Amino acid sequence: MGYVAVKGGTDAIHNSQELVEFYRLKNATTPLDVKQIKSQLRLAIDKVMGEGGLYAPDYAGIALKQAEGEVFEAAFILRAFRTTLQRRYYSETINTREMFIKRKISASFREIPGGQVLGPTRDYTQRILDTSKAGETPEAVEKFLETFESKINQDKLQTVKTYAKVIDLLKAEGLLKKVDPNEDHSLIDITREAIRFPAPRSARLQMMCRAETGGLMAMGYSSMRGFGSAHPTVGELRYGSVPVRIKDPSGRIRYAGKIEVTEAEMISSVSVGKKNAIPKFTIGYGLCFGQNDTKVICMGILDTTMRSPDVNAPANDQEFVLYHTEGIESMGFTNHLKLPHYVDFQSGLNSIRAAMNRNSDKKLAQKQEAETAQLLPI
Amino acid sequence: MVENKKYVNKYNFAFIDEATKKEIRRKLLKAVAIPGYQVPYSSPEMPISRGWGTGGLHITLAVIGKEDVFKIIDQGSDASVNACNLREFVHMMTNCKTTFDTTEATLIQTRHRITEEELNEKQIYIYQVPQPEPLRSVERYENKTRQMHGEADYAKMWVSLYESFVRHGDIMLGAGYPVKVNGRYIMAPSPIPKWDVPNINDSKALHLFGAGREKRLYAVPPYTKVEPLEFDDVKFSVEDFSTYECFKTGYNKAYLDELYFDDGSKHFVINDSNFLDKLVEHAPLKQHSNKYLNKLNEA
Amino acid sequence: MRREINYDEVFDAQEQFRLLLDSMAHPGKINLLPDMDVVPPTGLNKGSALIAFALLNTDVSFHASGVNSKEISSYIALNTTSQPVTVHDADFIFIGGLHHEGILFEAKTGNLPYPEESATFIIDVETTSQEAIDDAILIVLKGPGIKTEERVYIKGIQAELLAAVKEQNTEFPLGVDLMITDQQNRVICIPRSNQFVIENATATIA
Repeated sequence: MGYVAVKGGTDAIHNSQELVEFYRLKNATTPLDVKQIKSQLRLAIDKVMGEGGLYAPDYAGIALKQAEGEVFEAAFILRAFRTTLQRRYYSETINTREMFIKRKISASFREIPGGQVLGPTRDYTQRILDTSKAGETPEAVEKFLETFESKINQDKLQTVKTYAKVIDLLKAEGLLKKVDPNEDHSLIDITREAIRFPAPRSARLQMMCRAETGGLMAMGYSSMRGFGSAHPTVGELRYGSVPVRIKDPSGRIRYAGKIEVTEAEMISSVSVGKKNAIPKFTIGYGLCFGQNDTKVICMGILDTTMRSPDVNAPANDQEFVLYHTEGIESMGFTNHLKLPHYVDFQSGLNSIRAAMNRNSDKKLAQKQEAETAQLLPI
Repeated sequence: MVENKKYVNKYNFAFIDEATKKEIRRKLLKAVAIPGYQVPYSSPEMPISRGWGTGGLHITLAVIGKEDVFKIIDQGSDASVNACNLREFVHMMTNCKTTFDTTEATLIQTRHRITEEELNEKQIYIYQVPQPEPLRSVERYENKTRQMHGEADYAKMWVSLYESFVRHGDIMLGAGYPVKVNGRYIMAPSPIPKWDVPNINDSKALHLFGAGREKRLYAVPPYTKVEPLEFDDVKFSVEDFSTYECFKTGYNKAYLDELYFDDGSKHFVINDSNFLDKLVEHAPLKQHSNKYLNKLNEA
Repeated sequence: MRREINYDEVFDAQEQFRLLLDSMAHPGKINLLPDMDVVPPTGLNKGSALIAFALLNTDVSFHASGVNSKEISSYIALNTTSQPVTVHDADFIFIGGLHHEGILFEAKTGNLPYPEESATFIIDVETTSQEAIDDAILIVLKGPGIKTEERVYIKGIQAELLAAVKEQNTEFPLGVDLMITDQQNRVICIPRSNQFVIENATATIA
């Protein structure tokens, strides 16, 4: 009997849940310690936090473990977890000039205040597969850390400094385009209300801040390749930790902790509208949790492109960029095609069959008419 | 290190926090006051994927109470996998009674079908909606479609229906046929088949629509005029099952699913699983009535 | 000024919201809110206080006008954390049925792309009934949510107020929505989609 039974759905789901857990554990390897994930898969944690929209390295680690390393799935778990948490405060605005710098570079200038600090980056490594990593031992790790620390000359350590920004220098010289008084400056919270278009800049930046890196990358790339106008330079890119402060109910500002962020300020030149006016520089801004150069650079590119009046390029189109780089929503909707659609499909079948019948009826009628015409006496 | 005992599963009744519930409730009241108009809402993330029913869930969880009896169907079936998953979630979060029986339910959440059995005045019918904007196929930009609805400027929609007729001899729309609500807003009734569309018109129940991913809620109160878009000379029609019948009951005045048996033979069966069960058991049953179904019954 | 502690944020709010949803979906249908142990200030019906607790919080604003409005305003702000604002900005407006109708023209009625950005009026009256009562205005309601028509007698509301509501709602979808409570905890709702007619205006204006 071939009747497709749609009963037994609950059993099927429970079995598939158990099966997924089996797939995660079947090789009976040592369970991963979340500490290891946090430490040795640091950049995956950063990505999950950045796309989940929640700064919580431990939870990001658990999510990655739960999702068997699938970053979309882990970001989704973290985003859903975020919804269950009570919102108590809005923090004070974070000032990245206070950043404890771990990395700071500029492509626009050869030398900048505090120098070009490469920091921990793979930019200048060779992407040669290092098979020795397969045989890494705890002893080798310890030895590396010992040797590394011994290279630090304690006498040469200096006090921690903060550094002026490159754009502050440009601003002082009057080279930056003045803030447009007509631009929508309202500060909204996109996690609390649905985005409306045209969206104010605060909404655009927030959406991009927790957007999916690959999506932003594709859009930023398109703009550089000619599907758009932008070819900015990196004015400054910073990675490090910044303090987070909160105003308590009595009005006092309190230090709540610190988070790691990456920030980019992308410089482009634009005309200022008036004829014969000297062009100025405009800044495209990017900021995200953790270390993620690609994301903030693309955010900066898209911040500029979305302010461009030319909507022909996809990267300039607010609705296109913001709706389609939202990772949780795009993953959900593209995958929803797996849900049964047989009712909608049946409806479509019905329509097309009816159209085919109409067409064949029409052809038959035409044929009969032609035959009848041939039979008529001349 | 994370201490597991802090995070022992302790959830608010119906999962969503009270502030968000209030926001959804206020928006639902406005939606009911402006039939067919899409109200934007915060649409918080759920542990269920976007595109898999978060909007319907938001509404269900905002309105559900301890005494409610909850039914959920997907493509007409209570036992479909996604319906099972959502039912478990709602039950886990509320401890409500759940049922497969259409008449027993007080809240019915659905993906893409209206029950064949008639709804009553005590019921709220909640739709999962993938694309709330009926004009999206003719206008891709949200800020433009919002303007079009605001000014009741639906010319583009009518032109596209006309073009469809000119090309194919009929309006080639299947599931999710656009309707006009209360003579004012064009609305997307979610991808229900044309067969179901007439049952929203002048209904005894309250119909609430949730599009989670797109962050819109809308409503059709009971006893409200809901008219499928049609021309004077090109009328709306429901799917034609006159040459088929359900292989289990012989009935063909309900929406039928097409199936292929292992031997390749084609058969049809009633799609609404509870309706089918009741027919097979000869249980008391009252089907929706509307002018299209009535015409079939007269024939 | 009482800080109410008997209101259950989860279950009372949910049950009462369902009554309000039912009322808004069936304009003119009289629903009964529970007689809870809350003590609103004079001039605010218990039903209106319950509506405030069920629907308001820090994300929306309100305005109270008329008799004892200052105390009512403090009471609502204290118990809901909603912010009191001017009548032009308020999401929820609390007035008595005998209030001057001018206030209707100061409330927000939304805009064409976003008609829901408009006020909901919560109006305190003396009695509502489906049977005739003395000194009452009869309104006959037709529209979405009503099978044929609903007839409701309202005592303690002035006809001009209802006439002003009708006027504000002529430019549907712009408009305001009403929730009317009486002194026995009854509530009826009139959404802007409704076409009601004032059939006899015999109430005296206090």
